[in-house]
Amino acid sequence: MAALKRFPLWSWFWLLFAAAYFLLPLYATLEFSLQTGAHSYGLGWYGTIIHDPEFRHSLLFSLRLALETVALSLVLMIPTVYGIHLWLPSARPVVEFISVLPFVVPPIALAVGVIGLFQGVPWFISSTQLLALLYVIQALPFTYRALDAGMSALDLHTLSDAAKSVGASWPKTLWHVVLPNLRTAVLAASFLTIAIVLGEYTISSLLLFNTFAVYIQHIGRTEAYSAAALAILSFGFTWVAMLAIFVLTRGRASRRPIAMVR
Amino acid sequence: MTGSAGLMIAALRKQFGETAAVDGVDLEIKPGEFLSLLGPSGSGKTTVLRIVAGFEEPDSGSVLVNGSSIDNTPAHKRNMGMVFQAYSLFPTMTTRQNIEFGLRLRGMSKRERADKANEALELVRLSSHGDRYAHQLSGGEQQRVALARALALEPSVLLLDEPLSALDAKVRLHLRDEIRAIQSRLGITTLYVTHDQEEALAISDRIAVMSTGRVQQVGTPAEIYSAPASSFVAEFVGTTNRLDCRVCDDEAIAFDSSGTRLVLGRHALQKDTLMVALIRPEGISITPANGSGGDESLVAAAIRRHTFLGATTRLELESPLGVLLADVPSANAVSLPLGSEVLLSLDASAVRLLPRP
Ligand SMILES: Nc1ncnc2c1ncn2[C@@H]1O[C@H](COP(=O)(O)OP(=O)(O)OP(=O)(O)O)[C@@H](O)[C@H]1O
Ligand SMILES: [Mg+2]
Repeated sequence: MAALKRFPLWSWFWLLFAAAYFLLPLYATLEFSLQTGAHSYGLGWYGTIIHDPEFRHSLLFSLRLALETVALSLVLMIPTVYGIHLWLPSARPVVEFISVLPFVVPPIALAVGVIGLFQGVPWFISSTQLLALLYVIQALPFTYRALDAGMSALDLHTLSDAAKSVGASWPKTLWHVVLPNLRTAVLAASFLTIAIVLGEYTISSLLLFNTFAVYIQHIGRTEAYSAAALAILSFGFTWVAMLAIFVLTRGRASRRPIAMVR
Repeated sequence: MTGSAGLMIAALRKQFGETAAVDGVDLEIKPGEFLSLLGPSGSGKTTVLRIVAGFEEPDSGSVLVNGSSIDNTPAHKRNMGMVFQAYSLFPTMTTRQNIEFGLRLRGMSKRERADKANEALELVRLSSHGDRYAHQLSGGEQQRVALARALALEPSVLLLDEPLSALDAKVRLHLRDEIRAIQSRLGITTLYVTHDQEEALAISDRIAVMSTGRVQQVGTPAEIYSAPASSFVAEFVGTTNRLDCRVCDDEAIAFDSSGTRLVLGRHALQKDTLMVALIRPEGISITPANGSGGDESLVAAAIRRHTFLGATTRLELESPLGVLLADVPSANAVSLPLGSEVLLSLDASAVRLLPRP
């Protein structure tokens, strides 16, 4: 009984501790970004950032890259994961291993390796497509895992056989039957990918692209106040993205909780 | 609703690693016929069905519809309706969308699709459930929708793989009759997989009994029940007493256990051939022992157990022949208490003799 009573107290303690751990630096950054003089506050630094053309350029560039990466990742990975589940379950451990390689291989090694590999094709090294390709690799652990979990939750074999029995080829099965069930997984994979692309610094700076992360880094080194404002801004973006995931997936889930096997 | 097709399965074989899941299966299913594949777990029923559906490729052998081979036709072009053991409705689609999906793939107009879906829903008496999702349906309803989805496409052959096994007993009985009624009405050629012998006997035109990847016997339910071709079939379908015996002369056998003679009438079996006698519980009659004696065909026995089955009661009897099961009308069982001594006689016409393997 005593232990039970103490439990909520300790939960509250840890909750507040964790909250403080995250919120204090955030608050400090926010406070710093709002300082316009010794004792005056305002949105001046935010104005500076927003009116900096580089801010807009780099952000749009990174967003475009993020969308390209998401599209490419999904087009590559959805059929792959589907195929592994249906036809090559024995390859799953191998693919799982490959999918975590980006955690093991440092981005710098990846970038240098790619530069070496494509030395003969300079236009490719300087193209944004290369960057998107590299980001597909960087996002692989998340894309693969999200899709794998999504497909594991389905009785994929029975659904695919049922679809075939009513005349659907496998691409049609994937599109009409499987994909609608993967909404949550696809959204999760997409937003994680966007977060990675927006935050990736090493590869883009090494390949001399002015992405959003490179811009943040640049501001951070040169203008402390603007950097704080920028940090808060990108934090805001992330939250909006998270909220979007939440709203989009919740709307769906409440309408159709998956109850395949009773 | 559908033009029925003949289905032929010829010399089908399929190996999974070491196990021969299907080990040379030949079957012919006539247009409009309802044939059940009956067998214990692992006997290869599902594998046969999946090969017919095109989900699995056989190592050798052929599947023919109306005489022409469909071996090279991919599953999604075979036009076979299938109902699965596991619930298989597409979870993001409503009942109606599930049924219309296949029609949509065939490029049917919206109007036509709606008509077909209505017709199919009516067939399974679920017209009011068109807008529900799978999770809003009971297990039995889901299987009925799955049946409607298969039938809406007017398949040449209907395949069902234990569609009732996940349902509770009452729903199972009801839906089984419903499936049969719909099948008869549409006259659709049907291959039905089950491990439940009672279900197979009740629903089928013919039954193919399978074990270890082979068809042991094909016949009408009555043939399978009363003239099993092997002791496996006899024991798997219904309950049977199995007694080792030998031929003693040109009209009688003698049981190994007691030496008791049983006159069966004239037969052409070689004297001293080792045989197995199979006799159903209803082929044994019981009379209370009252010391009449003398009749050599009567065997003394003691009642060890009663199992009430409704109209009949099954008695477990201990006799010199061994332990036997006999069915008596429940009304008579009252006068046959546990432990009492009785006389049993074997109905010679109910005994089925098979060579001992
Ligand atoms: N995909 C597979 N891989 C390996 N072995 C398999 C596969 N499918 C079936 N088998 C094996 O083949 C044999 C026949 O299986 P099958 O599913 O056809 O049996 P079944 O008669 O349908 O049994 P049940 O009544 O349990 O459904 C079994 O020994 C099974 O283990
Ligand atoms: Mg099976």
